[in-house]
Amino acid sequence: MKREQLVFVLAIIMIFPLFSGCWSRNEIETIAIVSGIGIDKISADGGEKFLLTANIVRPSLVSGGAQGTGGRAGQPISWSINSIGKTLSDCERNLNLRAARTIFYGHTRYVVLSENSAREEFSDVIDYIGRHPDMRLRILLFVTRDSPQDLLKSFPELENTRARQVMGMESIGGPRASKIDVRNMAEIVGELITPGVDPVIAHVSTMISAPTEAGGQPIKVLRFEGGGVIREKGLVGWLSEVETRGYMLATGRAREGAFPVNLQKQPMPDTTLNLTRMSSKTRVELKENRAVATIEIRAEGDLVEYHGQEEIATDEGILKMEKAFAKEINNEIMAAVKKAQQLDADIFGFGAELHRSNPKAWKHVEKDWYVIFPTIEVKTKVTADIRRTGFIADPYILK
Amino acid sequence: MFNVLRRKIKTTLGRNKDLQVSHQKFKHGEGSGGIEQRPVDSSLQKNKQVLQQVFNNCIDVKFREFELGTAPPVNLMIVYMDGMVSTTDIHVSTLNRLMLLNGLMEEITPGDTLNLIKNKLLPLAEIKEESDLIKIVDGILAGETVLFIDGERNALLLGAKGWETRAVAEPESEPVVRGPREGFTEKLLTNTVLVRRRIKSSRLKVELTQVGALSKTEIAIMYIEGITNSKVVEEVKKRLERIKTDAILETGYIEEYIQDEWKTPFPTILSTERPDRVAGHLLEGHVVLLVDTTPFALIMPVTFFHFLFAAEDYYASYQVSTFIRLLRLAAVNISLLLPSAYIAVVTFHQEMIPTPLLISIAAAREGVPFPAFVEAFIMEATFELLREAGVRLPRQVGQAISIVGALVIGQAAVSAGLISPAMVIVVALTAIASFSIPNYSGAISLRILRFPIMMLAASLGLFGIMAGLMGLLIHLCSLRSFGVPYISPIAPMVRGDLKDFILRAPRWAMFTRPRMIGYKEPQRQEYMQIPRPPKTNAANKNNDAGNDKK
Amino acid sequence: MKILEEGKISGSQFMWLLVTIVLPTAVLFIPAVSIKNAGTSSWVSEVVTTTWGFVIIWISATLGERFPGRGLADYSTDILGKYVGKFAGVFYIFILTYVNAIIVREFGEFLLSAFMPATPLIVFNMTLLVLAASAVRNGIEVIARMNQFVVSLMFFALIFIFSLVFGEINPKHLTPLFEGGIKSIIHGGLTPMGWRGELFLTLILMPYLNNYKEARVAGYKANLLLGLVLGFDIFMVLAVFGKAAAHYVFPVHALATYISVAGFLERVEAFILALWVAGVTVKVAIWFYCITMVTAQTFNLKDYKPVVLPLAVIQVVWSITIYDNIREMVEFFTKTWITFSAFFEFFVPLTILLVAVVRKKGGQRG
Repeated sequence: MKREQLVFVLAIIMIFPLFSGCWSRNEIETIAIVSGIGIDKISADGGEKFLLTANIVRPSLVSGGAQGTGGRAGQPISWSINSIGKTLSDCERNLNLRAARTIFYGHTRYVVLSENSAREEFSDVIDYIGRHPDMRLRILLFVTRDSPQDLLKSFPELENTRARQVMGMESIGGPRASKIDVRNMAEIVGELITPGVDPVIAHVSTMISAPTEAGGQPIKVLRFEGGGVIREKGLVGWLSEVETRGYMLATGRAREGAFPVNLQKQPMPDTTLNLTRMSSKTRVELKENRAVATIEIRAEGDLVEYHGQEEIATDEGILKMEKAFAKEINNEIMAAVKKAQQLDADIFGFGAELHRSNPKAWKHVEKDWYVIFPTIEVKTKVTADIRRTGFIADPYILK
Repeated sequence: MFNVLRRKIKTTLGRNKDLQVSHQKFKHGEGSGGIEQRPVDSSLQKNKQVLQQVFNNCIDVKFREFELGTAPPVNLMIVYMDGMVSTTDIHVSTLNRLMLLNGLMEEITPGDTLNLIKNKLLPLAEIKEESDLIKIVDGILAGETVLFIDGERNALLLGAKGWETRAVAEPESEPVVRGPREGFTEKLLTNTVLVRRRIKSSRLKVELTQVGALSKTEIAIMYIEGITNSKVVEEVKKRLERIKTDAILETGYIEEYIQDEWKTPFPTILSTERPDRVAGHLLEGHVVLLVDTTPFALIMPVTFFHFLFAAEDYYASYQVSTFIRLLRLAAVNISLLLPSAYIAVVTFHQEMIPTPLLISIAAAREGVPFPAFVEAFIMEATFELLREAGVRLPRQVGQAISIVGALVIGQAAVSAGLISPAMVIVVALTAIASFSIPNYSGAISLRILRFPIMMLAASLGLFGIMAGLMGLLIHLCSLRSFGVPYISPIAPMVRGDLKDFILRAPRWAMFTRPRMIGYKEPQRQEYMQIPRPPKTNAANKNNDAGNDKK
Repeated sequence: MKILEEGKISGSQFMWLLVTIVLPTAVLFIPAVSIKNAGTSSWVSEVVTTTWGFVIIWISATLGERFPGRGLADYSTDILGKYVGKFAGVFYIFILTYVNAIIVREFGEFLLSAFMPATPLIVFNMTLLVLAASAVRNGIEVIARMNQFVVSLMFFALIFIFSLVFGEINPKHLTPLFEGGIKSIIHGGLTPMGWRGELFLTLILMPYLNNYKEARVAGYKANLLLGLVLGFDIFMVLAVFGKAAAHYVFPVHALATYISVAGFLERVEAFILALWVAGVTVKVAIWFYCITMVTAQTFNLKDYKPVVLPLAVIQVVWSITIYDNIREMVEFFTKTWITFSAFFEFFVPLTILLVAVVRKKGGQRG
């Protein structure tokens, strides 16, 4: 008994050194908190290389809000550094040639891809993000026609940090106009893998704006516009704002939005209808070798602006508005369809819908779907209702 | 050197005669040469001599010789310990009666004086005859007055005890908002009376035993026959008998002698100052020990969760009690885990913190010289020191220094850049949480365990904390307190007991006693006495319409 | 022969032990494999697995009821003769240690890749086994009590995850229903059968029940509960991620990372993980206990406690050397595990049972 106890104690003592290592320990002052990254492809050193830009937060400048967004001694809140490397992981490690801290992606909120990296290296980017243990599934992906470097240096005007601005766009700002659809990694990858759907990524760009202080430089700020269409291996084209809204309407993702319509056949729209809620249902059928897709939309809206001088809150007036509303929705959807068929990318998920409703038929056409897709006849059935007219019914000035 | 070694080996093996306990050495009385080991002598002077020798240099033992007021007079002597006897009784009921006799001038037959005095002359409630001098000496030391009668071979022990005791007051360690404010005092008889007033049943048994060679402390074992497991009572008595020591100064001594496991920081016996709590536990089938000279009673067997209950839980309504118990559960978790969780999250799992908070913490820690673990350790140790210091200081000063001092020191340390403000908050929250645990020994064990878990958190993050908690769980699951598993009713799951566990069921729903402890008589109240208003009869409806008539 | 343990556990404690024998690691790994094989019908394939579970319980309970109060290694000498019986005991020691090493390794891998990549694997494995060893030394009652406590933690974690991602369910991911037909349903249920068959440990744990007749019902109840929980688990993973879940190595963990409520309750997966560690520790403890008991019974030891420490050392070392890299482990699970587990969970007990029936050993007379 005594010897066994001795052995036991020795065993325990020998375990203790294992606890002294603390291998995965990262003190909070030794991590570089990356809030967003940008990926670009450039030619350097006689070859194609990746350029990774990272926004690292300077914590002492953000805390408490006591110093505001100016920072001390004019230093911006986040530090934007780039590195060049043969692959993305190479770039990540090369960042440490400039930054003394461990690059920590745990709080990274968004990834911005430049156009050529989205076109050519999309699968590589997705793989890097998916495999990395720190990167979370809720990272937002963006593409831009400008350079990600500039984007990551842009000035977040209202929010504290760029990350907050971007996230606000996803949840608060974006749905109000429904002209951009900000998606996160899990959703994009889900749609990418599913045969018969192609994802759309939000398109962000920079624009020049007036300087913040008198006598200062003009600053670059963020602006969101439309979307980029991804098909299989990479970016294939762009959707304008209206086309993006059409896409969002067709897939039932639109939330609110202003729809200017023309009731009086004027050159300029004279009525604005605000979408409040909508739902959409898609049906795809194969009829004698032709594919027919029917999109049913049910939308509700309010009247928010009226330039005319006639009574509008009457039965005929409401009917007119509803018709114009439905027509406008239809136009936008068809614009999106036209663009998608032009790009030959099934962003609406017709293929997936066929797969769901008729798996046997889908098996036949799956291989040729991208040939069939541009020839799909798309019909829409829009039911639009106008519910309210705001606080006044008829306009102030009547004829 | 060898002598030292030999002596040490002998001590370990228990054979060192020089290290005998008092009770072995003085088994035959404490006087030198066993002078007490004899019966009472019929000669008064002889007795007086012996006693004076035994109580040599004890000036508080008083000898008073006097004569019985009969003709011929008989020599009497009383011996008593000054201060431990009720002098009124001595003057009025003893000396008065015996010396002045109230006109009872009879013929005294030798040999009959004892009975005459005992049965006719002394109007005292308690008189005992005794012939063994050892017991007489014990009696004097316990406050009895001894009456020696010249010519008799027995002495009389007069029960006229009385000494200064504390009044019955609110127990300071367990105050309540609602409930009785009586607390135990240092006198055993007062304490048993306080319990008897709450359980007026002859099934409440009170057995007496004595422990301690020099202190000869009286211990009362109380239990309710028929509800308590008799095996537990026997076990308690057996363990008390096994205690061979010099003195029992507090129930803590007894606790450490009779507890089931000594290697654990968790207490397996509950101590309390409140008689209502004792009565409540007696009714559930526990066994209670009351010890003379200390107001703390011991309750056994208990589970871990008994240390998280307060007396008030049973006096307030069930919603309030449930809410407060949930709060206490959170307090237990915070008290044990908060500093470790902070260390683990800040050092290993930064992705768990919401981004703005992470940035604040990072900013706050930029200038701090110590890593998170050292910071936490220093602050916790300082807080524990402050708390202990606060207990020792006089009451008014102590409160101020504990709380205010801690916060001020914390603030100063933050300003000096030694620690980060988040740490101050963590430590303050932990301290407040540990104060809200009702029982001191329970809170102490959690406080102690906080430090090893902090070390595990610093080395292995959340995994380390979890491993520490699993080890703790294994330990808790293997503990038993007088046969009751320590963390029932969770494990083993006793569904009937869950009604008084975290949530407290309404009073009408608590019909059974805790199964593990009071299983001999499971039901304690009528089934389903749900309170409700009386059913109304159409004829005597007292509704609003009736008001019109008036 | 004594079964070397005075503790007795009740029927409900037994049932929860059986649940913990399978649940902690199964929940982590099964959805990915099932979804890969069966697509949208993967959650139905749990029915197949549950049926298999019933078969295993039936075999184990029938065999155990023939020899009430005696352990497997004990009565296999009766049934199979002295040498073959001892060989069966040794065989099971080997197999169970091997499987336990795999369990420890797979969970250590998970902890390492998900949380602390820089820590050497041996730290995780050793901690798990030290805790399990100390639980085993304390006896079956302590393990059963721990288990009751830990099971509620695990269910809390599962309910927590599932209720918080409920809003992310996309019904489109679940259609087309039953794609692939019966064949894919069965195919999806094959690998989970290996896990469910671990319930055969009933054979070894039966002597410690207070009333051995309760084992059968407890086993059926445990099997049913497991089927429900795992089915729901696969359902949730499929509903939220769709078939992309087949790519994730630890889909439930991915589910936990995906939780985001009101913009602030995010990133809670470390907390879920902590509860999971508790579950796996108890699972390893129960397996370790079975190994110890079989060892002690096969070699007729007087006390099982001295064997615990050496077995722990063996398992730590074995768990490190068993696979070189994660590819080997995944390949083992997708290819080898099915037949391997069927062998020692199904065929060997069935053979022992048949021999017992044929040779008329045990039963009402025994």
